[in-house]
Amino acid sequence: MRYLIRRLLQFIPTLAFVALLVFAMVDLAPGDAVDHLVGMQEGATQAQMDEMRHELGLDRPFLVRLVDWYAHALRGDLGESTAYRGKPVGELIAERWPVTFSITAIALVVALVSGVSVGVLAALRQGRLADWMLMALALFAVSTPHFWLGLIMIILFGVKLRWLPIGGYVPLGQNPIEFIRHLILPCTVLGLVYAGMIARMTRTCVLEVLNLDYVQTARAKGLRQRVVIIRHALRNALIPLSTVVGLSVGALLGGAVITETVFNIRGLGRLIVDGILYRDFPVVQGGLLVVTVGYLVTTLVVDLGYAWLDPRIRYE
Amino acid sequence: MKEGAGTAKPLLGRADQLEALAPPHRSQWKQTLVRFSRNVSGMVGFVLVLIVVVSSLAAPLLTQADPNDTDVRNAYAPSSRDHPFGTDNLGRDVFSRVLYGARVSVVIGFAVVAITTVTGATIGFMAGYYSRLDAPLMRLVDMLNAIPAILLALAIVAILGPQLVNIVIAVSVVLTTVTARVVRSVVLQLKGMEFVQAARAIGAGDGRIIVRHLLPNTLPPLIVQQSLVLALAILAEAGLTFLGVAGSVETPTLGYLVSESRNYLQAHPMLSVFPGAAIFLFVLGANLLGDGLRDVLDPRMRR
Repeated sequence: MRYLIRRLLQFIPTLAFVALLVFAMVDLAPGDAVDHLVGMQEGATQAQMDEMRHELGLDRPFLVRLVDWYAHALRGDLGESTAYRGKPVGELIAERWPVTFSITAIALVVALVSGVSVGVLAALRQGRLADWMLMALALFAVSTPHFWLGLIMIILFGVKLRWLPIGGYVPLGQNPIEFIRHLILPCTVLGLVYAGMIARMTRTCVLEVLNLDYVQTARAKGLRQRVVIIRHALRNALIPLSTVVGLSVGALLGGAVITETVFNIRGLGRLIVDGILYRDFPVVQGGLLVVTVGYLVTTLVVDLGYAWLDPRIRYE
Repeated sequence: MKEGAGTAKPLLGRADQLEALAPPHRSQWKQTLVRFSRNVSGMVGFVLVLIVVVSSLAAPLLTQADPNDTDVRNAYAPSSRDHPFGTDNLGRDVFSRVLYGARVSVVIGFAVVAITTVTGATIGFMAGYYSRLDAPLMRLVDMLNAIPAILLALAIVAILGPQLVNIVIAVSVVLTTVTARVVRSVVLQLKGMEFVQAARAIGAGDGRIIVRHLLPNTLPPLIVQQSLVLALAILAEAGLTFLGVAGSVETPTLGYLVSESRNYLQAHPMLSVFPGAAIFLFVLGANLLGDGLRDVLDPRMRR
């Protein structure tokens, strides 16, 4: 309970600081939306540009804008996009987040299921051919730039075999079958890359536990190998892995940005990247904030779950 | 004392006889080198990294073709003697583009390794050695890590501008947190050990303890960590240039080449395959090198 409270108290300043970081970083960038919008039309005068800045509130001092942004963000108002003709950022994010959420969530399942099973199998066959081959596979996965893997999958399954669509996104509510068909490639690509990392960690964790005394004891009292592994070894080996889930979510959210670009999916990541390219600061700030908050909440939940699974953590 | 040493000698036999029995003397680093040369994955990784580095640095010797020479009539040529990887949409030689692109990526990768070694070790030592600095520095690292790595690098590049040097800065900031964590945890472990207490007991100052006692012992894990940082840096650079937020036409990196080739994916898929394969080989090499170094340098892994 005390751990829970302490962890929650830690969460709030982190959140506030990250919000500050996001706002300040993006705000300090040279060139603003006016430069970008005006840059596209010839013959804009300095006076017109100043007027535009005034309308958008960009001529106010940094601190005023910061406090203003905080105050609005707390009420769920993230400002208006400058590139999408004044569309509220909140609305844009609301449209896009289910896309990124689906990709990340499904990719996480792919990564965990394949990563953990490969890691456990390799650990049980330690030193044999199967171990060597599975670990080589995992190493290939962590070494592959996943946008490249994505392009190769597109060439193979989309262009040559024509089994799957090469990009785009169909909402679940609109057509569940197409929703799945469009997500197979992106989620497999994104998931497999992180499955490599998870497989390597799982193998180490399982090997460590297999050498512990209590596992030897279980063996010595005559339990069958399968019972020893499933009931005794894996249960404890997989506890430290739960922290990997937290880390993976961060990596997957970042990876989703690239995956969305490869597969032409209009998700949150693409929104942020386009925002950077168009100097659409409210969108970049809002997008970064939402992704980061999502990540922070996940790590919080994972940490609390970890403390619940492994009571020792509380005395730390 | 001198007499004692003199009388002890005959008991043990002659010095030259003893030396003949003892294994040949090797320094610590030499022993490590020998062990490393017997480590398969380490050597494979080392060779892969070497191939990429050498061939990209020796690009002018390996190909006569200029990476930016266009020859539109000869676009999309298949692989031939003149163009081992064929030509791209503007008739540019893909082989030389990949070599020169790898050159930029290699420089960026090693620059990030050099920078994060200094910054990561400095922050790690300060946090690990000076308890007062530990909490604030690590909080800062935690907060930087609260933003997913690629997005943080993206935001930094967005602020600084799309020049290559800004990719180095952005990726270095992100990866410094990783190196700092590793160094800190090693320093924390070492700090409590008896040899450090002994050094302090005989009056060694902080500077001497850090440089003479702690630094040599943090080197092995730091070397392992930095070979993994090399792999991560190359991947991060490739990702950023692929997204199109950084990089330029004049000095294309490998990631930029992949991104460029996307437009011709359907008709000419091989254009994406070559630069991507170069990234893959380099990162694979760096990862294998790191695994091999860990086997050799990390005493906990030694059998």
